[in-house]
Amino acid sequence: MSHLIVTDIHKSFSGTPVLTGQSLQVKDGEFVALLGPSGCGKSTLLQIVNGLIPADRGSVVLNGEDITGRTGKGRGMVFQGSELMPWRSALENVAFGLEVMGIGRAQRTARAREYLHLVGLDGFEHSWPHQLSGGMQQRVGIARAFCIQPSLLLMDEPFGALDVQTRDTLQDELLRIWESEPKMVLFVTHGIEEALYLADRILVYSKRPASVLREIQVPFERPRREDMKMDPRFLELRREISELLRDDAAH
Amino acid sequence: MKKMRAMTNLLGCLLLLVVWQAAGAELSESLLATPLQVFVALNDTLLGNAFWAALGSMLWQMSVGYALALLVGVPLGVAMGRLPLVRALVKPWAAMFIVVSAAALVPLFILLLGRGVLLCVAIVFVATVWFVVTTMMEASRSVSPNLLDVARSYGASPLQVFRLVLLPALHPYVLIAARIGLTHALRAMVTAEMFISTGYGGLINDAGLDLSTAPLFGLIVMLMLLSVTATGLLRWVANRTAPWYASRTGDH
Repeated sequence: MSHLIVTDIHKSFSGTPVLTGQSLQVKDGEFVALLGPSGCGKSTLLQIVNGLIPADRGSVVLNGEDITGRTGKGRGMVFQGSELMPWRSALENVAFGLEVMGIGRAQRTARAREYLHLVGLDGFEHSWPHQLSGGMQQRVGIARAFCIQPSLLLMDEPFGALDVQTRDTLQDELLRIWESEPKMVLFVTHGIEEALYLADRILVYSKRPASVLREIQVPFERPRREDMKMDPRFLELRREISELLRDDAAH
Repeated sequence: MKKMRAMTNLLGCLLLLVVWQAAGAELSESLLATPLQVFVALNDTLLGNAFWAALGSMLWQMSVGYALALLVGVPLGVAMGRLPLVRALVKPWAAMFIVVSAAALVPLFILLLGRGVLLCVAIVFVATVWFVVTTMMEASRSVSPNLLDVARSYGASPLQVFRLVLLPALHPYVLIAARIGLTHALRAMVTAEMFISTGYGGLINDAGLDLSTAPLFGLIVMLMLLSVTATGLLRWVANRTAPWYASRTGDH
């Protein structure tokens, strides 16, 4: 059973506190959305969990191992702008994490091919990133993260830079892939609808320094489908969260 | 699109030749030989042995200095781009030496190194290396921090970050530095030879004393062709080996 325990994280940037004593837990197979206004510190929290940014205080424990301030080790990250290496083909980009882990070429290529198939990009193995659309690039980004078969998936506004149609499609794709390979997810977003549609649980954050305004257990069953967005309970929750964030912004 | 650009390039060259022809016809051969006169003179030059011997000796001496400049300049530039300490230490030298023209250094270098191969190699080296250094420094500073983050977040060690991100990201810039360096190397080499009146520079000196300016222009045109061909070759290599970069600059 995998689990993530983040305890009492503090972080300031040149004297400005961004996080003051933030804690959270993720259970095995749980999809958790971190929702909040832009610049509130939720991305910083994600990067601290990822190990890219050192915390001033606090700890990150994944599957019983203290990984505070260290990268790698069972975490796959999907970045906002997909951030593919332009000199690598789609296939080589997906295989990147495995190459870092020292897995041989034949094996990592075979596995990367599998995941490229999983995100629906058969036939694009040897395409360069610049030949792919924004949506396809982010599919490669998602495949890259799944390919290392992490126990924790970190997603930093992965669909923020895409147009609405592409975003809707990719949300469904993500759900489909994640349902076939369930794992813990921390998903940072400022989209209320996105958080409700994807997550099991939502942590709604205040403006900076981020603190949890409310924790919401999303009541919808899986598999989730598009028509859920018309459900009265969905609309009601969306309105509540929207008001919560507006109130917070006004103070 | 590519054809269109090539045609426009050609048109530019033709335009230059027409203006030159008209101006040359107005003046005289002793002041400004016309392209046609230059063509005839160049034909004679190319049939003689002196030209090819001079070209050969110039090219190999220049190549040694140029290769050394790349060998030292690329790693030094990358180190300056990535390590603030190295940058702070070396940047003043680059800023000072890059403005000193090769011509200003030759007399001093003759005193120090004599008039042989060593002089030419040294002049080419100092005239080229700082351009390579500054190009590579800017290039390695501009490597996307996001891509470095990607590598780190997948657990890459510093050595892996260097090998898997920094090196491939810098590859097209090495070829740009090589291109910029080559033009400077060629100019410095000819300057040095003109001072000591040997090789290609020596031929240019001699041609300058001729009553007709046609042989002189012929030599200059050959120099231009040489430089354009060599840089074109480097550009071709860059586009072939880093198509992702070429696509970004619209050179594909």
